[in-house]
Amino acid sequence: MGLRVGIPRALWYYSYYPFWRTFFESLGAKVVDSGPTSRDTLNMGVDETVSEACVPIKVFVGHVKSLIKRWEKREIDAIFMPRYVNWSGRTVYCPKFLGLPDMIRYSFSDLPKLIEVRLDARRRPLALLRACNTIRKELGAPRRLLLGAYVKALRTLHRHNELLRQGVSPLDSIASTAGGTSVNATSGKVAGETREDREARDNRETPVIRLAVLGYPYLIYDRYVNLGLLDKLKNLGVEVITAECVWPHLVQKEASKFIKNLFWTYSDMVAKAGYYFLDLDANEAKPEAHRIDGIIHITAFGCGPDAMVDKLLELKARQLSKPFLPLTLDEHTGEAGALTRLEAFVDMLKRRCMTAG
Amino acid sequence: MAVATFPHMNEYSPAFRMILEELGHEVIMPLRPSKRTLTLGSSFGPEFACIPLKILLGTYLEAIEKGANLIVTSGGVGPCRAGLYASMHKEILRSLGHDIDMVVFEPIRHKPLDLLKSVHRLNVARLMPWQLFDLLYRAWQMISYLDQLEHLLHWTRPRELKPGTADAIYRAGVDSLCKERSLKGITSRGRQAVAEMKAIPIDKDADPLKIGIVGEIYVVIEPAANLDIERILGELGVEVHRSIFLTGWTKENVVKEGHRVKAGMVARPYLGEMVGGHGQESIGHTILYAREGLDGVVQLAPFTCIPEIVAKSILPAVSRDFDIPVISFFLDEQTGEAGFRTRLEAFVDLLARRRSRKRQEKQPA
Ligand code: SF4
Ligand code: SF4
Repeated sequence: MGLRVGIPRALWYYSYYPFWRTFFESLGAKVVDSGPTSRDTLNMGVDETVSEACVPIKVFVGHVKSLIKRWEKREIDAIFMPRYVNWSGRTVYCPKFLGLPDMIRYSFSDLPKLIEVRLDARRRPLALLRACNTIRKELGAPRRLLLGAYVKALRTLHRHNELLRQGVSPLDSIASTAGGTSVNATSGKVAGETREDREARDNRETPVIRLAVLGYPYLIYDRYVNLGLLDKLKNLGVEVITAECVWPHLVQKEASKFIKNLFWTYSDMVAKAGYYFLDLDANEAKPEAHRIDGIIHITAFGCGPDAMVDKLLELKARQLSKPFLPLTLDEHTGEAGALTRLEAFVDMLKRRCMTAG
Repeated sequence: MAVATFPHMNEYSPAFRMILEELGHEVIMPLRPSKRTLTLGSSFGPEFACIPLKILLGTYLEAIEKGANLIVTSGGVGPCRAGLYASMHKEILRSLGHDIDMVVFEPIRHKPLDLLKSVHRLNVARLMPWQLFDLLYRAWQMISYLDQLEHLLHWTRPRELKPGTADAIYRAGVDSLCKERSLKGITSRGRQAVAEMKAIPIDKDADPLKIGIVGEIYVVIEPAANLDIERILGELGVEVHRSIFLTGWTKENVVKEGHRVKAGMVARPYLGEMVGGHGQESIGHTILYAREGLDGVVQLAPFTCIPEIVAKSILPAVSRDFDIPVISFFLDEQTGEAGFRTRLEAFVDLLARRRSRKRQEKQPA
């Protein structure tokens, strides 16, 4: 039987899980994902992490801990623990991603086998393929399977990104790219407009508000951590668009004119998407669906890079007088408080729209 | 005319002033960061920015009040926020209606050309290359003497017979050194001050506890950012070893890679990746200090400092493997002096007890 590999559902999961699942499965391994974040996961993470760390790191550690427990029950054999340094050849991941395997190794005394690889696309050509080869060796799979598995994984990743661009949420996309069956893309929409949405809108009196919700994928798509924020917005009649919907080409082109590259991959994405959305009115060529009434920026308490990103967005939004709401999440964020702020913000926007229109 | 200012860093301001004045600028000296500086910085800076960013912002604002319109600063190394400080500051200052100019020095290894360009931009007096060289050499000498004096201060404080002597002589030495401009003046003053420091009567048998300080460069170097930890420790009778000095840092960072890389190398098995800032060095220096037989290590970091958080989560393992106690402080604008001092005192107590226990074990009666 193939190795059973646990993958934590946190951090890079939302962007890259389809790739790794396909890759591992093509090499005959079995992939076990740690499941949605729960109160338990978060509590375990908080207990095992230095208190200064940001929530997403705590969540990650919690997921690792839950995988360790499954290993103790002999449900898995190893945990996949890549060191995400640089995937695109351009920006690096937040330093905490860079130190992650070390942080994990020194936080737990009893660990299953860690499948560690360093993913850095900068220095050598085909660096990712080489990294994949390292994994293949660890799995003990024959060399001839490597290329096929790699290409297949890339394809899945491509499909995943495509779905994200159409506004499908990563979790739905992951579910749909799993069996190879193509699930109806509209069923899992978080962003953009489905037909039902449009009909519903036509029947409503108040104008529809479209908001860009910006933040790291592991914050805006982790329902537990963000208190179901996207659903709440939907219930308030807001149409949501996220950075993934316009990433990467569009944003890259438009925003690099205004802002120097940030170092960190996800921060760069969020800041540029923000600039892209904000500057939209100035540029006639942009599609109607990308015009927004305001921005909600979701940040993690104690996140270093976000302190910069948030300020940049705030300054830009103020300059163009676009409404801007920063929401900071931490392990104690109360649901009531966050919801009140959201409602107030949306109400304000609705009034604004009414008076303007 | 450009009125220049720069970040405040320990006692180094006079050296920077010398450089800028001789390049043909009027200079506004940055104030030693105070409560007000920090308040200014944190009310206009991002809430979760690291404390160096806030202090710098506050310092700039105070200098702007006095008429500065050109800020000369350095960028950071590695994938951390310091590299973005300058553009961040510029944006914030502009949003407050201050139209200032900024010259940013990046490490020479990365972009040698940019460095030349920055120098050229600053050189309004149109100094010739050899004059420039001479100027930088003098500044370098001054900084080296400042560092040397501070080294001596750390060493003498726990040993002096009359408390306060070392501090007084250090102060006088620094002040007289900083008045000098000529190479001859700097060297003779510097030598004299060093000799005076060495002449302070000390308790020759003293065997003070030795504590190493590691962490992020700005909070390690700037006493106003670290609640003057070195003085507190010195007064508690501790010999302080500081991992970062400007001469060491500049030499290794701007020109070549030296000790810093060594610290990085020994950190390798624990943290296999440059995480930016001084994360790797904090681990490396802790290991080096343990090998040198120091009694304990203090890690200093700004609140939300990314590399140091990574380091902190690995330090317990280092501390265990090398048998050296480590205490971490994450500083922000709320860090109170009283609590800080209490925790330090407790740490020093612990080290003292640990040392005497160990010595007893070594020589069983
Ligand atoms: S980017 Fe922010 S939230 Fe993400 S790991 Fe880094 S510090 Fe944490
Ligand atoms: S090393 Fe720490 S203090 Fe320096 S820029 Fe990075 S986060 Fe800020």
